[in-house]
Amino acid sequence: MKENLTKTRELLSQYREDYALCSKCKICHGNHVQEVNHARFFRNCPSGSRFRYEAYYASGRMELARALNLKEIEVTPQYLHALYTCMECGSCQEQCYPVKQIFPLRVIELLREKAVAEGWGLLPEHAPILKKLEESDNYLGKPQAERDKLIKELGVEDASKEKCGVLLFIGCQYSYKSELKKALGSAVRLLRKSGADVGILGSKELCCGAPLLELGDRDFFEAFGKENIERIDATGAETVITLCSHCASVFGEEYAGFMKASPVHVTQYISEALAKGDLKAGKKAKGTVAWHDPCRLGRRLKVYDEPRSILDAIPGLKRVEFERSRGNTLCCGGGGMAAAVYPEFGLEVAKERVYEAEFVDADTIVTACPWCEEMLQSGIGGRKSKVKVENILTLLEESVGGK
Amino acid sequence: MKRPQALPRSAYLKDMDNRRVLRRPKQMEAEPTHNLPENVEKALVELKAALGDEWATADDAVTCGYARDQGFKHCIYPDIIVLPGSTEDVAAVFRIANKYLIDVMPYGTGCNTVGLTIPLYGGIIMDGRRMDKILALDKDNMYARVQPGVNYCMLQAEALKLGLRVANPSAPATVSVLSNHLFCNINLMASKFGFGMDNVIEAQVVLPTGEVLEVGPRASGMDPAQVAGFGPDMSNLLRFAMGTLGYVTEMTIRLYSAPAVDLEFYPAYPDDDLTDLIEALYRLAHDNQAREIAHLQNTFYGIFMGDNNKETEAFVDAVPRNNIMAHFGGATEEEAHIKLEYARAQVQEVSDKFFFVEPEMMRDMVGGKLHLDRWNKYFRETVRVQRVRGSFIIGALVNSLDNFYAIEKQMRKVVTDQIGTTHGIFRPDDASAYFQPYHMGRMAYLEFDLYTHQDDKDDFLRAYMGFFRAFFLAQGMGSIAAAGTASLLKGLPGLDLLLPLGQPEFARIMSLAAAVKQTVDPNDICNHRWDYDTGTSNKISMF
Amino acid sequence: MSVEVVRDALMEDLTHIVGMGNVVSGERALDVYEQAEGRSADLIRVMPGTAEDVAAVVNVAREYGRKVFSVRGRIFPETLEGKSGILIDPVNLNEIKKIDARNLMAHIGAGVSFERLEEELAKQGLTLLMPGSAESPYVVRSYLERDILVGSVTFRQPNLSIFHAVLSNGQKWVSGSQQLVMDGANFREDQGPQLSPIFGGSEDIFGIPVFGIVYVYPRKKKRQVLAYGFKRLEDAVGFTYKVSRNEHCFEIAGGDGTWWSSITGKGLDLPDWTVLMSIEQHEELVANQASQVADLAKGLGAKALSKDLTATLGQTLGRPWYLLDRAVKGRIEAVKYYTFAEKVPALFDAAGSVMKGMEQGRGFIPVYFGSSFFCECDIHHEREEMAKAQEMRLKAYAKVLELKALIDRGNGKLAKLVYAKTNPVSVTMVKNFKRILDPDNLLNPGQLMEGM
Repeated sequence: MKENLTKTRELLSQYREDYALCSKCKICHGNHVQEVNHARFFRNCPSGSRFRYEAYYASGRMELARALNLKEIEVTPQYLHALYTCMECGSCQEQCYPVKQIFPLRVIELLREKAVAEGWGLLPEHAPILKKLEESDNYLGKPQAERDKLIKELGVEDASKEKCGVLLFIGCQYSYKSELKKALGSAVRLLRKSGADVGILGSKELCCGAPLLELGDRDFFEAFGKENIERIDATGAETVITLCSHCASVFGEEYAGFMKASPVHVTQYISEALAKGDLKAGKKAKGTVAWHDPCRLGRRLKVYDEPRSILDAIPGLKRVEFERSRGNTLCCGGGGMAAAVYPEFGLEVAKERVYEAEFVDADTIVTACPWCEEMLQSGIGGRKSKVKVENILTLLEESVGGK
Repeated sequence: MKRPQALPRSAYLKDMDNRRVLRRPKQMEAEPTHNLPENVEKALVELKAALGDEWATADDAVTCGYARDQGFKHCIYPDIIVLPGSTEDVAAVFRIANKYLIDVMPYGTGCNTVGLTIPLYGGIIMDGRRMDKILALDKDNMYARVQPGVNYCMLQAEALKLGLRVANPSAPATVSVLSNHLFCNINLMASKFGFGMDNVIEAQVVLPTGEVLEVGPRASGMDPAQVAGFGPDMSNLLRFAMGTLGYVTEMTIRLYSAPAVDLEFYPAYPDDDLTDLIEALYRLAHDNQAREIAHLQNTFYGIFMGDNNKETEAFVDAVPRNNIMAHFGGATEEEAHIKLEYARAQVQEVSDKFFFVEPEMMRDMVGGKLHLDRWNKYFRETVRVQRVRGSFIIGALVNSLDNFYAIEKQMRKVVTDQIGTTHGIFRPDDASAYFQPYHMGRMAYLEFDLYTHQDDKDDFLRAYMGFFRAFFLAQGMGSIAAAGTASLLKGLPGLDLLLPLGQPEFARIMSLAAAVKQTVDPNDICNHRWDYDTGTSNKISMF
Repeated sequence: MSVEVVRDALMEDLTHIVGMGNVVSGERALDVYEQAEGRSADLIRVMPGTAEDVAAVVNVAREYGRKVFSVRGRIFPETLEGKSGILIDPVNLNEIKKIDARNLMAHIGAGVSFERLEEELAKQGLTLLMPGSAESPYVVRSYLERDILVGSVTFRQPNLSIFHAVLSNGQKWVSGSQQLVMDGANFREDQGPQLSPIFGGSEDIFGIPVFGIVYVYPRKKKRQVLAYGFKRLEDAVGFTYKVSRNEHCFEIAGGDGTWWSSITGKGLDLPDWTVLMSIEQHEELVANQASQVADLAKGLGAKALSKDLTATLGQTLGRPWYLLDRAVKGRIEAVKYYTFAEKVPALFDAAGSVMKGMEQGRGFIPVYFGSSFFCECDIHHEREEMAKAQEMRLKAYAKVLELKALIDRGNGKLAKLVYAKTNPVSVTMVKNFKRILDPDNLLNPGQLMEGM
């Protein structure tokens, strides 16, 4: 590698104060206490709520880091279980930082990086993910060439050949999964309707590297990152729009400092278009919806209001809030690559979120993240619930109308 | 994309791996009889069978999470962690522990700040967080029955739905309601409504023998009609027993009405001289109309208000030195106002130096940044205490309000003498302090906190020394700790000989507590601290 | 040595400790009790003047192999029947050591009566809460026994802070913060596990109280007494509940005509149910709260009693209500328990169902802001009906227990009834305390229950 993506690689040892200063107040276990209206919805740490031992909450993971650093313990299978059941949803840090100025999420992320760097980390179940990325440059292990077909299918510019107004970074899930094609189509059409000259990279678009970041394989992530940034810079685009929340957080938190284009999530772009009048939602919609804040979009990038403004712009639609919303959002169950190894655990979390939708009398959960959509869908199945999941762009397009 | 090969580790790092070896302190007793490794192994097998495979473990990844807290007790690893799901599970744990002589440490939600859930000799930690149900919540008769895993946030949320509230302490809302009533439940409603044992109606306790003891009305199948059960009142037997007498699996506590109208006022006093302020507190407490009442020094106020250390510091400098906070409730707006205005007149009568801080004034003082909802809601409902710098040592004292004037002054002096001053936000000579009246001003609670960085040995030791110097000074001036320590001090070498000479009454409660302990815990497994044969502890530990 | 010689020696030693005139034997020893006709016990009653005297008496008793009993109420307890030993009467433990107006506490001996203390407190603009059904005139005793207090509904309980008691080994048990410092906080909580509360409701089987610090209250500027009549019990209880919950009262109690007549000692023409209350605050607040109370009463269809009737009833407030004073026919048996507001009528019916044919009085007093109600059913009877009344009392207790009434104390047959339904581990725990504190069963043996 010629150079690191990050000029100075952060190490866990730099956060020694954080895990040493944890005072075990346990506010990382749940939500902002001033905003809890029901006992059940205090709980917000998915792994802690399920597995219950200290090690599965941020407060215990701080001790995992400290005990390893002090050579009091060695890595065991349960250590790895505690490390990799974390969904990296950031709920702990959301509560802890204002109080203690500690970064428990960062400690957990760096602990995973240490695990990979020192060779004791990663589970056998992670191997297929790495293999797919090595062999196919995308998370799903599909041929990259299929992405080129999207250029024609979506009727967009090939950004690697022509300059475009905005570059749409589609992401692996939206590129390949048939059940997500509808949302992808809606995104492109809405962007064009708003006046954007949309281009995509096609097969030149690699995985953003989010799965690698979440697994802690920093080097491999940076390899993808570097490559993506070079290709994006080469297009000359000033704005790159992400569809997936995981891509959004990677772009916003990792790529942004090294990339010429400014990253923005599609909900931010569309919300601005609606505000400016470039898009208008005219057709009345029915139903009661609840916006599910994806962890990566909400807590990481603080994109809370834009999706809500989109839904509020749709006439006839009633919007309710989850009990755990905005900074208190509950993970869908798909974060941190935990569900890849522990699918039943992921499903339990998803089912809890669906229960919450039922509790607030929402008939549809709306979101803008393919991981959330997939997990919530499985949660609906698991609960045999009547609640539906919709992508926000699909919902908006129905109201905007036209093709 | 080719996955990059990991860079070879440097020779230095390799060498470090070789130099460093596992160094976890395990048992440190000579000739131990409890927690023998072979017995721990056998116990674990039976615990897994009894509770479910998932709910008992000896894995280091789990035990390390229970070995420390933010206090000054050094780390001690337990051997096993169990998560019982029911009273029957708790009883099974004790039976197995007795069989193999494994110590058991009761643990609620683990928010203790002084090492009280860290077992002296290892053994089992019994974590109550799976038992997290609110078993009953009675709107008309104002009580709640909870398990150990229910925290204040959860109970308060449910109680508020019914127009009720629990007397919540100035501790994180993640604290277990049940555990907190066992130690200490210092809450801002204590002047009018009481605290701790005043609010406990009944409990279910699993004794270390595995037997289930019920105390209070439930022992005789009676309704929890707010008063002690039949005959000798044992309803608070385990309060300040420090986990030595068993594990409380259910507790019924009093709830209070949230009034239709709630008004508050904040008289502020600019000077350091507390004479007038104490007089004002007496008046308000005697009047008994304030539902919540406390004094807050600007240092104590700041930590509740700021979002981070910098904001806290700014807040401390901006607000008046001494502040009273009081809430008045009424069935009507008019009634609440009458109470408030009368109280205002009472305070003004004491001294014209008092001025009343209105929200707009506060906003001006802190330059436009004010978390008004936090200002109101923290003290009224749940409290999430912000503590800066890492950890804090709490001085929790009880004495009469009048006496605290001199005590607080003296404590500041000795802390400065011992620790000196620093440029930090919370200077040792300006430790955050607050008082509150208890029981209509009949006595008062003083909290005097020193802040320290628990990972900085020098800072920590300085604070530790200063704290104890101040604490013992306060005791010498007639204060007592706001928590009964007999169960903790029992067994300190030499104490059994000296106590009857100097403190015969304290020796008596210590003896009785010891006798009760020996009765209910014949194998001495529950928070095992001192040896029955010798009467002393093999380890010296305050907590 | 003959029995007489030993007894004479004992009398001499006791006299030496407590002084001439403070040792009474024979039939006169039982003069301290009411409803004692036909009862017998071989007791030497002593009236020590200090805690040290009490300790000395206990030590002497042990030397002579005598049991020690204590006077716990004015009604002769069935458990004392046929007992032999020394009876400690606290009447001379009547020092008012200190009235601390600043910290609202009175430090008093166990023999200080309500009347005496109230008189002294009044001089300083203070008062104390009066019992609604006391069997002892002594404040420390009454508060230790957790007697219902008429004005307690808007205050936290209990009203006894620290107390001292003499143990079976002659040592003094000191509760609360005085275990560490004698002059400081005077804080109720023990400096270890909360063991002192076991002395309450214990029939003194653990120790004999000699001193206590009781809570006193400042008198407020304005006081108003109100009385309302109700047809239905449900409405009377509902009114009392709401007033209590809103904290619109100081003293408050409700009852039927017999109840009030027995308390006032006058035959009064009252509605089916009457609630008597006071509000004591500063003037503006009294006016405001009285107005709200009046609105509430009106909404419930209640009628305000006439000024004269209200004044007559009102005179009963501010003084202790002794159970024996209510014995309009000469004798009284009382069934006392706590229950929730919604269960008051059902439990009155249950208790009343076994008292048919007897004159009954019923009263209720709320506690803890109305979240619970003390209830009392009095059986008024002549001496000849004593056995019948006692049997009815026990049956009534059994009935209300079935409905989960909270009976907070008792002895003898009642204790047996309750303990039969009590978790055996809890019963064993009480026995454990007794064994630890009084291994020789010296103090009040069998007074809580035989075998306890």
